[in-house]
Amino acid sequence: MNKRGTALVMALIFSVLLLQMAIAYSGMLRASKPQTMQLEEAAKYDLLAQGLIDKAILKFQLYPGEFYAAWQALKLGHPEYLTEYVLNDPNLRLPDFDLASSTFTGQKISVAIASMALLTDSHWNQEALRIAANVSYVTQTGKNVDKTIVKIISVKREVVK
Amino acid sequence: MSITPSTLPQSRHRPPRGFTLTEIVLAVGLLALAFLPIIGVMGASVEGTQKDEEIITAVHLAQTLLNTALQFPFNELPTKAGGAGPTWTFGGATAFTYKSSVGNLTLNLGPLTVGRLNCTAELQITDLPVQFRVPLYTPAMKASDSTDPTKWGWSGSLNLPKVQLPNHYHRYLVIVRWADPRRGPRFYSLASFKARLVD
Repeated sequence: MNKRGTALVMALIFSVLLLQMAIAYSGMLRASKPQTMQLEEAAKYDLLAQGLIDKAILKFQLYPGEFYAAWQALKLGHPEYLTEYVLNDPNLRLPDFDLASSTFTGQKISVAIASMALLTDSHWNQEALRIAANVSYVTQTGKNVDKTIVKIISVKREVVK
Repeated sequence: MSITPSTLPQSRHRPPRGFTLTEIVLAVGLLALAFLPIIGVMGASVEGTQKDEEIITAVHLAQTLLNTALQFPFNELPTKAGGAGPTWTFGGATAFTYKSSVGNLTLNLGPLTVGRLNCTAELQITDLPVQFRVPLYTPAMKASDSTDPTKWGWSGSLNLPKVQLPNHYHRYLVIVRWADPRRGPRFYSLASFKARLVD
């Protein structure tokens, strides 16, 4: 049997195998990169949403009577007053916030209070107020991301005598 | 032992076994060429891993600093600025200096060393006066007809309070800065807000 050129064939086979390994490894690297960015983006939007929810709680603490009236109106079939209190307030929105940036990402994050709702109906007792904030942004890869951050606080109605 | 004339030509023309030097040199050369992209990928991966490690460390540090700052009672940091001097530390950070003593505040934290990341950090606290859009109703009218919300004397939404309320809502911004030998100055900033809330 003529064995001339066998070493070359073997070397070619090894080369192809090595190239395949390199391609697979490169693919793994590309897959790990977005995970780092997701971690970084999650830190940003979570803190922004928590901060805006803090503002919604401040509004509730400053104007509780109006919230309770709007909530009662909702229960009686008139959601427009609660919509006005929560959704139509431009002060409860952070459009295209870009102060939280970096040298590796510069995306703008929009945050808005999406809902404020009482989880209980025990008037004049301890109640639970659920506040939800919607977050939306476009990732570096051009993907639209929407998230909802929720906070539940306990509130207590008191009779002013 | 004698060599017969018939056996001599056969041993001279025996087919070659093993590899020639040329084959081996070519094979080694081919393998070396195949290794080149692998070495390139390995180099890129090491660099990428280091970059990711920097980013993750900076993110964690910024989160730690911001969460620490947010734990202080509202307005404590700005009001104590330039005063007798705080005794707190931020996540084990070194002492810090104030840039201003009223209203907005900038704290310089560091230099900090976290893992292999040598950086400085800055905490900026800015007062954002607040005003809300509030739909007003008339309590007396609500009491007289509690079943029909349209008769509760809604007067449309007003911006309240009439003058923006200062010192009730602060923006916290943490900026972590470090120098990358290959890519130059780098930074990562993280923002949140804190309101003056009643417990």
